[in-house]
Amino acid sequence: MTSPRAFAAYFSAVVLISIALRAPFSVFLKRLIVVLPFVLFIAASAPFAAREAGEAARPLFGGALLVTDRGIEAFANAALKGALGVCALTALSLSTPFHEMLAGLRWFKVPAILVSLAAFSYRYMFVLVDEASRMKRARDSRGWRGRWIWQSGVVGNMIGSLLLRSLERSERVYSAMLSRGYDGNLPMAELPAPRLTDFIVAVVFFSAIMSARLFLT
Amino acid sequence: MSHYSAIEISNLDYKYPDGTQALHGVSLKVAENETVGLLGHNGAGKSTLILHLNGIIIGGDVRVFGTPVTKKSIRQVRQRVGLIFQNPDDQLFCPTVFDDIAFGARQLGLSDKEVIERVRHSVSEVGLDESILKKNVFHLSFGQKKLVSIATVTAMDARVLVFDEPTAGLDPRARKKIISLLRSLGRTQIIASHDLDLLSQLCDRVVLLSGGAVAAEGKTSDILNDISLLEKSGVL
Repeated sequence: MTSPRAFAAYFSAVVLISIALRAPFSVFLKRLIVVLPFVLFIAASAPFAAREAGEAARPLFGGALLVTDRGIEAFANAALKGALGVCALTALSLSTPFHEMLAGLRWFKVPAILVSLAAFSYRYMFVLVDEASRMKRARDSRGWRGRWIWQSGVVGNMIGSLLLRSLERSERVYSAMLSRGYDGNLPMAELPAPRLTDFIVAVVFFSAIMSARLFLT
Repeated sequence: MSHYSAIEISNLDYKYPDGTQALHGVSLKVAENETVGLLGHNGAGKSTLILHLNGIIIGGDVRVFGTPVTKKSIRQVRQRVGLIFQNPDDQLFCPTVFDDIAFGARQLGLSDKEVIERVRHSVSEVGLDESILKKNVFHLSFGQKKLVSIATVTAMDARVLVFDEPTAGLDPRARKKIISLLRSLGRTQIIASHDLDLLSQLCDRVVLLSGGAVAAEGKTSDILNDISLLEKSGVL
């Protein structure tokens, strides 16, 4: 279990980065609001999880549920780690353009197929969202109100045709790739050469976080 | 090499897997440095024919500078014949404009320095500023995407450029720009379109497709002035 002091150290690292980026805290909050419900939902069962015989527990709802201190700790641990992960990823995405992140993944020897997958998802996500919103606009222009459950079939049809269009598009994109000599590997921009400050920041951050991990228990 | 035609197709048939006969006995000869228009109604077989030119579809007797298009010759063929697809969102698939233009050149195994040189040259050839190279493709206008699409192929130093509807969806100014760009690009060009005005401005010769077969072929002015032929073939 991670100690509160270590958590404090990790969060202050994120805060420092966001200050360095001049990123408003509202950005972090917005992403947290999106992701945290999922984390909480998964963590929610922790306080009620297996109680060893004789372990002290607090009754909830007049004794219908029993909650252990250990369980609450596990819950807090999971929720905080989730929040920390979201904040760290937000800081990464704010500081690093996506194509550099991909180059970074390659540097870390992530399999090329996964990196290509990420690159294509990012590229075509916007196209897909655009297409969906155009479709929705066209649907609404024809007076769709979507009030009744039996109209939900329309949404199903839309999702289906989006899927088919994406499949067809993928065929066309693949043809275009072949046309330009694609043979299975997707060359990408090299990482920009690191500067001295990059090294200093990396070393300082890495040692700070490792010390928190090792000594703040 | 010059005694070969840039493109030579004889008696090409193609049936899609679902049984639709898309091409029926199509023959086509394009000389080097000639600009040929492929005219035809929707579904006439223009796009299917184009896909044969660099071996996306292999089959039939298709020759590029005398080399038959087969699985073996495909790398060589694709380096010589560049396809520019109608929808730039299909053509441009890399995270940045630079990566996209560099894609083909990198596949050719050129050094980084040569790749950068080619990218710069291609970008200026299509009349775009180098500042566009760092951008994400999604942030470009449709006209810019179209120009970048062309640069992705010229960076491979293709000798035959094949365009599928190069002016579709462009505003008049972007359209004019593309037309004058195509005129200045030179090389051998094959332009599939039903934009009659575009064809009349650029092409030495026009091949009229109808229902998967060649309905007529001749000097641009002869074909485009034959009103009854154009109406019968569904392009006017």
